[in-house]
Amino acid sequence: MTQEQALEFIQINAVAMGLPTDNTRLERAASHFIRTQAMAQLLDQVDCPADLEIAEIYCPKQLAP
Amino acid sequence: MSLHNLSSADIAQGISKGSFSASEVLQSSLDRIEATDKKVNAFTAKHVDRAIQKAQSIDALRASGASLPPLAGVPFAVKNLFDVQGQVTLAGSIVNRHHAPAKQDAFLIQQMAAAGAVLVGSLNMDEFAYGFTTENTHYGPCKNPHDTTRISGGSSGGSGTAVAAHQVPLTLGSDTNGSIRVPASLCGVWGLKPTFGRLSRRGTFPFVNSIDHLGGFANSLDGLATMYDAMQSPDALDPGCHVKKVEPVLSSMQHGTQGLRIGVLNGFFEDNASPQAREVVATAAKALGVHAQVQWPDATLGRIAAFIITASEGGALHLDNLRHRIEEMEPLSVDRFMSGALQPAAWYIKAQRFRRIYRDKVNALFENWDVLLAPATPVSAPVIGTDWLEIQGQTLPSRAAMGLLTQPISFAGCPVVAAPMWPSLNDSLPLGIQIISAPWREDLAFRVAKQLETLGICHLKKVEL
Repeated sequence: MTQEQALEFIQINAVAMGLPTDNTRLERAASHFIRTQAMAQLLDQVDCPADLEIAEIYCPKQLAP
Repeated sequence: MSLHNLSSADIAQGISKGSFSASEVLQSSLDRIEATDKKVNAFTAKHVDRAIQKAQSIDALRASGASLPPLAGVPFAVKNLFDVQGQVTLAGSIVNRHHAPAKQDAFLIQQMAAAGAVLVGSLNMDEFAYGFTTENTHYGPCKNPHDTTRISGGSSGGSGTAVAAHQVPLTLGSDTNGSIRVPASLCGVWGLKPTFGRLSRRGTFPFVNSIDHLGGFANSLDGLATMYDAMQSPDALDPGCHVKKVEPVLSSMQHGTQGLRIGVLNGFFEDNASPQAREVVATAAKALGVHAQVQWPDATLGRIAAFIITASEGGALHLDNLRHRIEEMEPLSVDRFMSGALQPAAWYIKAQRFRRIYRDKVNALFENWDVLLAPATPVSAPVIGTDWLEIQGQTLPSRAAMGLLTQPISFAGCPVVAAPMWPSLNDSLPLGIQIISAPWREDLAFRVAKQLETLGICHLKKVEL
């Protein structure tokens, strides 16, 4: 992903989420985004079977102590 | 006698014996804060009236002949994301100034008060806990008492500094990715990040619900253990508080390390450590007679997943602030919040699913080991304003890199005692180690910490301010 592509992604999604769209700020956010995207690519290579659920916090009812 | 240098045990014992009163201890702490805080900028508020009332109530309790609770008359302070009744919970921001004052104290403050401790103030931090340096633009940077040109670490920087500067013997903080362990390391004090789910987070301003932990700092290991024991309690009102019973550690700390399987983390934890960071771990290992090298599973991926979850949850939490009050947000972190708010959901979900695999691997590791050692930070405290660090030939962004070695551990939820150490290669600057144990086995980490304290390896140093 290039800096320009990251900036384009950030611009479009900032509009969708109702976030400020001044270019200087979006460029800085895009710089962070592109670093995170590189990390996310590494994580994406991990094989997760379909039945692997997310780590849980939700609990429908507290168990009795 | 300088009361502000005493440990919490010495304070409680002295009050109990009548050597001095809780009111005298409080005054000593307030005087010390007055004399030093302009130099270190740890406190954002002092709660003098309630502190005086509490100290007087302890003195009255003693005068009545009743037995005193374990932290009777011990001054403490809290990171300013803890609710304090009647105060606005700032969480390091100016955005929150418009919030209503808290109706009651945070759960852990209530626990500390029940143990007799005296709340004296609230402490500086990175805005909304998103940082490792406490270079807070709104309230000024928190400074390292060992060298005030340097950072205290963060995000609980005020909590580390207040203990290192002998302003209070105990403080509370939060740790999502390293925010207790980093300032403990850089300020040279004891720190504890318990197991995820051990201590209730009710009444604190969140950062990343699925990773946030609360814990504390102390000027003595006994004080850290006493405080931790006092704060423990099940709490059905915090969905992230998983414990059903209290498991004290103070009484078992003296059991020694005989029979414990202790190793040193290599790989990621060596590759991202400076010579000073490697030295302190080697010193601790030698003192304990430890030679085994241990590989932590998927440390890089664990850090990445924690990074992504942090950005997504943090960004989502502050979406309204980003939309409407972005100009009032911390310049050093606002762009990260914005980027995080716009991350694809698939990244976040993948990171959360990976966390389950990661947990299983870490739990499997602890079937063969009881306690593992690693540096708490890659380097000692950088100068305030440092943007980039050189670590083992890599140029890394300073503010993120300070949490490199803590992030993989907290993502697994393991408890860690951060122990103060002093590399010989430094000019009096501390660099701590992480004493890591399996989830729910804080007792084992405390036993190893006690051994290192007894051997004289881990200790505080006085500061000149």
